[in-house]
Amino acid sequence: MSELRWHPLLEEWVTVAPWRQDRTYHPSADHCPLCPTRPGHPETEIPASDYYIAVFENRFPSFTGEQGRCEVVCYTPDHDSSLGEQSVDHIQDLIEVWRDRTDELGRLPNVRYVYIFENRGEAIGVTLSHPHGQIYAYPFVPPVMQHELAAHARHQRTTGRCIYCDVLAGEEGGERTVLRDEHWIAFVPPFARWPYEVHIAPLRHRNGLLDLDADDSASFARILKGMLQKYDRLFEMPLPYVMAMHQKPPGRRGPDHHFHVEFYPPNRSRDKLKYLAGSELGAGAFIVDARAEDTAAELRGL
Amino acid sequence: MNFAQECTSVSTGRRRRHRPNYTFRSMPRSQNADAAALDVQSVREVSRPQRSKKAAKRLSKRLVQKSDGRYLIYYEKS
Repeated sequence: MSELRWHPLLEEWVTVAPWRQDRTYHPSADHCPLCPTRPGHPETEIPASDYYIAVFENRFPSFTGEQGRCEVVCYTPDHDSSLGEQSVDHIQDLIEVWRDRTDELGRLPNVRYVYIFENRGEAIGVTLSHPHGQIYAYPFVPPVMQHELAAHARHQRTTGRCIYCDVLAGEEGGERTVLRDEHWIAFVPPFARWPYEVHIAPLRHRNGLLDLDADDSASFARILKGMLQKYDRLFEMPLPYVMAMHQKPPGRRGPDHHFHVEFYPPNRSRDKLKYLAGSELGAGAFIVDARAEDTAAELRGL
Repeated sequence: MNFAQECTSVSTGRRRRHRPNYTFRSMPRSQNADAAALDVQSVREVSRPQRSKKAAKRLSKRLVQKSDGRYLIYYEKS
């Protein structure tokens, strides 16, 4: 199991998992562990000759046993595909898988937060190119979510309103909107820390995946696919990104939150990346060299 | 231990020795739950969130145990 060390200055946990040093690193497509097992070839993580969507425990977990879980979600058996290339129907099925995992992992006794995310592209540090995402069931509420939940709780105490609902109300003008329908919106937040950062969120207050109804899920799938397609058109290449789902911690009486998905693509142009350097890493102060209104207009026009 | 229990740059002579909780098991709830205003104990005592009644199940689920003990779940179209 991992060792959790308390950072007394930042007041947050650091997870030490040395065995992850040996995790599979950029295997060739012929040796992809996330592809179905082919006859006459060594068994992959998925012994079946085909699958629709598959989830398995990470072989190199950061959290396991009583600490939590780390899962890998294989979106498709097609090695050369991507999340954005899946049909809306398939993405709706994937949303059901995310819901199921949120529910099941959230029931584990020591799990305090279920975090669904995807790292895409080598620029982000992806070691397996097969389209997949991950789920971390943490034994603590991660720091970013703690900050958000605390801000939300303070705002609710002082105004009686959800802070993210108020953020969305600020997007009525549409200047930073990339995509929108009756239920969901994709927009570049005015406080974006990455040039092409985008949030997608339900317009009605929903705490998390478990609160989504059929209409919410269908809209979520359409907006998610639309956004990912725009991302890949932006520089006419598969855009690297981190996709991070922020939802309420497990438990019926847990703190309130407004479910949303954040995307952080590292590119500031086709061939230039934004690196987290002195100000961002050393001081936690992001400097972004693009206006949200401009990048939103660019994305909207694609 | 990943940091000194006492700061060596300051003489704390008569001050009470600070004993940080640096292991997970000894983590007080307040250390990670304060900001989130999360009453974890009460959360655990109540029933879990219910799935929305309007969202019908679209997939069937098949659980398989791998040879090394890890689980694998196949989600298939119902």
